[in-house]
Amino acid sequence: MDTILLMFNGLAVALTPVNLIFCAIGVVIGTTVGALPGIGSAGACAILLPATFKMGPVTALIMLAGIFYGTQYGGTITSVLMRVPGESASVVTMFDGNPLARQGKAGVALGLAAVGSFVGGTVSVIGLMVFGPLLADMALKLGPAEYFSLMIMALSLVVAFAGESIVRGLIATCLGLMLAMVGQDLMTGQPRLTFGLQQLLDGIDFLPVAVGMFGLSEMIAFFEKRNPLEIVKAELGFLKVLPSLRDLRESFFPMVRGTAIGFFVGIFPGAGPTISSFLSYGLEQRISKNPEQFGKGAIAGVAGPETANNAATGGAMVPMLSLGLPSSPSTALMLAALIMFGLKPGPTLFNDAPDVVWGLIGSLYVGNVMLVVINLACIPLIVYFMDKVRGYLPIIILLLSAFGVYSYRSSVFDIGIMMAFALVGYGMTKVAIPLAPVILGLLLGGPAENSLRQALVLSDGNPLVFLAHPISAAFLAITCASLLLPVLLRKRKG
Amino acid sequence: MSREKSAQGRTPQVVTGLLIWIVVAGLIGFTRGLPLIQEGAPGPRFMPVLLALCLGILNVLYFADIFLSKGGGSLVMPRLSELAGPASYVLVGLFMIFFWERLGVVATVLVASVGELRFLERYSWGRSVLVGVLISLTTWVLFQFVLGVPLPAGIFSWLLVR
Repeated sequence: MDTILLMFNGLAVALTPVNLIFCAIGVVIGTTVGALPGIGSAGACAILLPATFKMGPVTALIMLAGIFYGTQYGGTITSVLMRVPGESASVVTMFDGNPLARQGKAGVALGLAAVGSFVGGTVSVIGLMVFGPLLADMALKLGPAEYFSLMIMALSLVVAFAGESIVRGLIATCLGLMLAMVGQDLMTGQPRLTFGLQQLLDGIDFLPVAVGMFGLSEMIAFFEKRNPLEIVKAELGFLKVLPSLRDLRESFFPMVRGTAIGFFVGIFPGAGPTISSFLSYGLEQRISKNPEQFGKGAIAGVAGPETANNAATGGAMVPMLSLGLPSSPSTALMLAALIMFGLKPGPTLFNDAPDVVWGLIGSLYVGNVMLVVINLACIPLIVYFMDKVRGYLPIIILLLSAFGVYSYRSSVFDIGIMMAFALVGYGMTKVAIPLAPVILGLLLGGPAENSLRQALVLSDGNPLVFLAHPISAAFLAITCASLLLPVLLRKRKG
Repeated sequence: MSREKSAQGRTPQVVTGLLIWIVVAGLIGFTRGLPLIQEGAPGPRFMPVLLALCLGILNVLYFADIFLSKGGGSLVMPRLSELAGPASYVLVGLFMIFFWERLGVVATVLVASVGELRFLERYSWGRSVLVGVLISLTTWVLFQFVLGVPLPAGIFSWLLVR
C-alpha cells in the first residue's frame, strides 16, 4: 500500500510541466542519438550531464533516464533501415529487422519495435517498484565488509559480461580503480598520485573520463573508415508503422518472454540491454516452430529482443537506486548526477530523497508512453534528420563535449583530461580492452577502498573478515564463479 | 598465419603489456613516500600497492594469453593512411584546448568548426564558414546565457569591459 502511495506521489512529481518537458527532451535526444551510429547512450548522457547542473536532481535524472531508454529504441531505426546498429543492444534487431525492411515491411519492424519497447519498459518499471525498495531494505543491513565484497562482485560481473577476455576486463577494472586513487586520500588527506599538480588534488573527475572514453573515442574511431551509409527507402507514415492485429498476436508471447529476460538480466551489473537482447533472440529461435525463418524476417526476432532491451533499462535501475551500484556506464552517469547534487546513492536514498527516487520511477511510466507515441509518429522526421545531420555530427559532438566538461568546473584542464582519455579509449578498443570496467572502477574505486579499509580497521587488520561474514562470503563466491565459469566453459567447448 | 604476420599482429598488445608494467612500477614508485600501514590501519599506500600486485599478476596472464593463445592473439590494426582522419580530429580538439582561454571561446570554436568542416568533412568554404558561425554563436548563447556558464573571452575580453 505504501509503495502504491509513493508511486502516486512520484507520478505527481513526474507530471509537473517542467519534468514532462525534460522527459520529452530526453526521449527525443535518446532516440536521435540511438539512431545515429557513433555515439551511444553513455556518450549522450556523459555529454549532457553538465547541462543538468541547473535543473535539480529530479529533472536531471528524468532527462538522463529518458536518454537511456530512448537510445534503446533509436538504435533500432538504423538497424532496420541501414543494417548498422545505432546501439550495441540493437545488433540483434538487424538480423531480422533489415530483411523485413528489404521485403517492404520496414513499418512493421519499426512499429513492433516501438510497441515492444513500450511493453518491456513499462512492465519493467513495475518490477523496479517491487524489487527496488525490498533490495534497499536488505542493503541497510550490510556493513563495510559486505559493501566491499558487493562492489567487487559488481565489478567482476561487468568484467564477465564486458568482453571475451576476463584478463583484459580485469586489467581495465584495475585501471579504473587506479584512476580513483588519484587525489587526496579520503582518510588521511595526503595527496596521492597527483604529481604535484594542483588540479589533481580533487582527483580525476568521472565526467571528463566518461565523455572522452564513450563519446569522443567513438568519433575518433569513426574517422578511420568512413563508410557511406545506405538507408533503405520505405514508407514510414504513422498508419504504415502501426502493427496489425495479426502482427501483435504473433509477437505477444515473444514480448512477454522478452520482458522477463530483460528485467532480470538487466539487474546484473554488466549484463544490461545488449546481453538481454541476445538471450531473447536465442530463446525465440530455439523455441520457434519455424527457426529457419530467423535471419530472414521473423517477427519474433524483432519483437522479443526489442522488448528485452528496454525491459533491461528498468532492471538496471534496481541496483542503481537501491544499492548505489551502477550496472552500466549509463546508470553510472545517472549515479554521478545524484552525487553531483549532493545526494548519497544507496539504500538510504529511498528514505532521504523519496521525491527523487519515486519521481524518477514515475517518469519511467510517462517516458515510455512518450517513447511509443513520439517514435510511431515521428519516424520519418527522425530518418530525415539523421540523413541531414550526419556530416555535422563529429564537430557538434566535440564542441558539446568540450563545453559540457568545461562547464562543470570551468577548467580547461578537464578538457585536456577528456581528450587524453578519448585517445586512451580509442587505443583500448584497438587492443580489445573493454572500456566499461574502467568507468565503473573509477566510480566505485573510492567507496570500495573506504569500505575495505573500514572493514580491516574493525577487524583489527584480519583479512578473513570478508569470509567470516556470510553475506560477504556469498558475494565473493559469486565473484569467483563469475570469473572462473566462463573460462571453464570455454575450455570445455575447446 | 605466417610467423612474421603473427609477430606484427602481436606488437600492439606487447606494447600495451609493457605500458602496463610501467603503470605497475609507477603505482609503487610514486607512492613510496606514503605509509602502507598507519596506526594499525591500512594507509594511503595500501590500495595502490594492492592494485599494483593485481595488475602485475594480470599482466603476466595477459602476456601468456598473447603468446600462448591460438592464432597468436593478433589484432587488426589500422593502416597509417587510415589514421590521418582520427589524428586530424584529435588535432582539432588540441587546438581548442590550447586557444580556449587565449583566443576566447567564440573565436576558438569558430576556427575549429570551420577547419573541421572544410578539411575533414570537405564541405565548401562558404558552407563551412556559415555553419561554423552558426555553431559558435549557438553554443556561446546556449552555454553563456541560457545555462549561465561563464566562458573565457580571451583576447576579446576588452569587448566586454564597459
